[in-house]
Amino acid sequence: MRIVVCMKQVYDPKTVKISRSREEFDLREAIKITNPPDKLALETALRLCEANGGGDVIALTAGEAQAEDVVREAIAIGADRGLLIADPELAAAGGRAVAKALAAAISLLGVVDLVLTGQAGLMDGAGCLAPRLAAELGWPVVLDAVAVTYALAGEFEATVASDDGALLMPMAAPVVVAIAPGPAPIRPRYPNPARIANAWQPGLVEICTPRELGLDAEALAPDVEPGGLVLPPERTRGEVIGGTVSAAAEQLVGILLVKRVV
Amino acid sequence: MDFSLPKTHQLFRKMVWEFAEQEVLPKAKQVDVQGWPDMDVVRKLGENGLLGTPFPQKYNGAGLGELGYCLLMEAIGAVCTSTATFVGAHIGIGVMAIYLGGNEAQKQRYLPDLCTGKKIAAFCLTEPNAGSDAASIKTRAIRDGDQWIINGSKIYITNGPIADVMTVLAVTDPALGSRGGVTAFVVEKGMSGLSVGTIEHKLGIRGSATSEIIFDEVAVPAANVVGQVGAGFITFMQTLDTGRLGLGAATLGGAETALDMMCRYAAGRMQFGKPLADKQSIQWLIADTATDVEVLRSLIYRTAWMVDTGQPYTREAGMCKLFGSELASRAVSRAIQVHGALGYSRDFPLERMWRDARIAEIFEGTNEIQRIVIAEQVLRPYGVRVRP
Repeated sequence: MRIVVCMKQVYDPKTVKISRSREEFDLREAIKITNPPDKLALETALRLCEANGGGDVIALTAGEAQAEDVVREAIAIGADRGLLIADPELAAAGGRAVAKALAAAISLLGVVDLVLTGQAGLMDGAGCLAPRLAAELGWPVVLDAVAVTYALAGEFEATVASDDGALLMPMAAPVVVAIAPGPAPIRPRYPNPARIANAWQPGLVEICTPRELGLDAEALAPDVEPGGLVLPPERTRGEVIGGTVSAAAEQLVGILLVKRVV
Repeated sequence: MDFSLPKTHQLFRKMVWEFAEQEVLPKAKQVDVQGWPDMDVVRKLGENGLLGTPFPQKYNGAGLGELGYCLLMEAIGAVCTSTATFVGAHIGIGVMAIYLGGNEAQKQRYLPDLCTGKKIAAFCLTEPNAGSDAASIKTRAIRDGDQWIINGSKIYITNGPIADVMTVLAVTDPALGSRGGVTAFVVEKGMSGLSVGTIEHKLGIRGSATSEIIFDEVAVPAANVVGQVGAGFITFMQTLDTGRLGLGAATLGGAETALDMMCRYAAGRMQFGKPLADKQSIQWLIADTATDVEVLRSLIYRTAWMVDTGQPYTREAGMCKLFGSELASRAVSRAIQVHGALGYSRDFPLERMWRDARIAEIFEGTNEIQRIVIAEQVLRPYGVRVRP
């Protein structure tokens, strides 16, 4: 069984500040982390291999050189191999270029049964990587899966959370699956200390550029041009309504009527 | 000069803080109340490869050196001093004595199970009449063919009741004393005549198990002599040198938590219409503690680096333990003051942290002994011989 896990480096939202005076993100003290849903995808891949007599888990990322840390962390957690498509422009180029680059790398890996990724990135939460990747690869895609199991030769089953329970979806490999946290998310394992100690050994992460994967300037052209950053209005002070429940409800309805909310 | 942690240790630091917060912190109050370690936490420490943090990978260790060990102790010490005490007694002195003094066969035999937590270690030095004066131990080992017969008792042994493997110091030649007459042995649970005596009821670190260990005609194979016959005192003193550093790292974690709690509370608690943090009297407590913490962290990481790069570190390790243990008590005491009556309440962790912090000024060499060790190192170039 061979599984590719697409992982992304994102800013830890807790460390990103917004400068209202300069109308921009203040990233001076921002810390980069692995996109948390991508860790769920990695954990799903590791459990699938462990439950089915082993296999190959390959962590794949694209971005600037620093994104290598994501792949090394994945190796410390349990991935067998790590690949980085290194290009400082790639992240800025947008989802289409990233999906093309990842798909090109995956098709060079030989037989791959599954491509897993987190349902959405912490940065924009667009959640469009999995469908785009599937389109590029010409594979089917399953979104919002909370678990994946191996059924029989070449067949997998995804559990997809739905409003009234869970949907069991049989899938034939190869397939792209986006993993979502779900109501009772699996807990990703901790990195292993000995694997951490070895994860920065030179040569452990295979690095290539989009050009080496056969992507030309057209493929890498940005599909969206940012027009600028608009900050939401500053939050105003709230109001606490006291008193008994019925009095408070009456007062609240009064306020809503005055503000023409209802 | 580069003061940043290596990438490996940055990730390890992140891992151990997450582990400490998710696995150790939720049990911190419970272990204090029940007066016994949580064996589930012990198992998780082993399963996640943390009980072999400093040791080479060929013995199932993580290979993260003393710096890795200090990061582990800092993170565990930040959430539960009892658990840090368990880890310190296991890795820092119990296993460390075999690693530093043992021969290759002994390391191959004991370290793999100890590094994965399949077995738990303890370090048996203190006796009723030999604490700071470690050379005055009375536990006796007498050679009998290809084995040694050990008689005597050890007290205040951390992990004593739960240990599978113990490194034990015993007198083998009373005439030679500490200079060649004292030998270290590996004693295993289940050996005939070995028993756990009185369990200690302690003021703090109640979630670590401490007991008397009794040796009644315990027959130990000659192959269990750690290193050479007569080299035990040196092995034990070397072990305590590194143990001190790890202990200092645990006090760093405790002081960091006290500082964090102090700042959080001072920022949110309103008195006289303003947050406490607006008062200069509170700001000074916070500024002093933050400065102390920064000094200790610099000292701990640098001393760990000295160990990992093979430099002498006896003086610095003593300073880590001395400064760290006094800081931990001081920082928690200040945090209690900032919290007022809430800090004194048993519903809040500060009273536990206060009881827990106190031990660090006593165990692994009292602070009086640390001052002797440091003075000895400082005064030696001046031709002064410092003696206890």
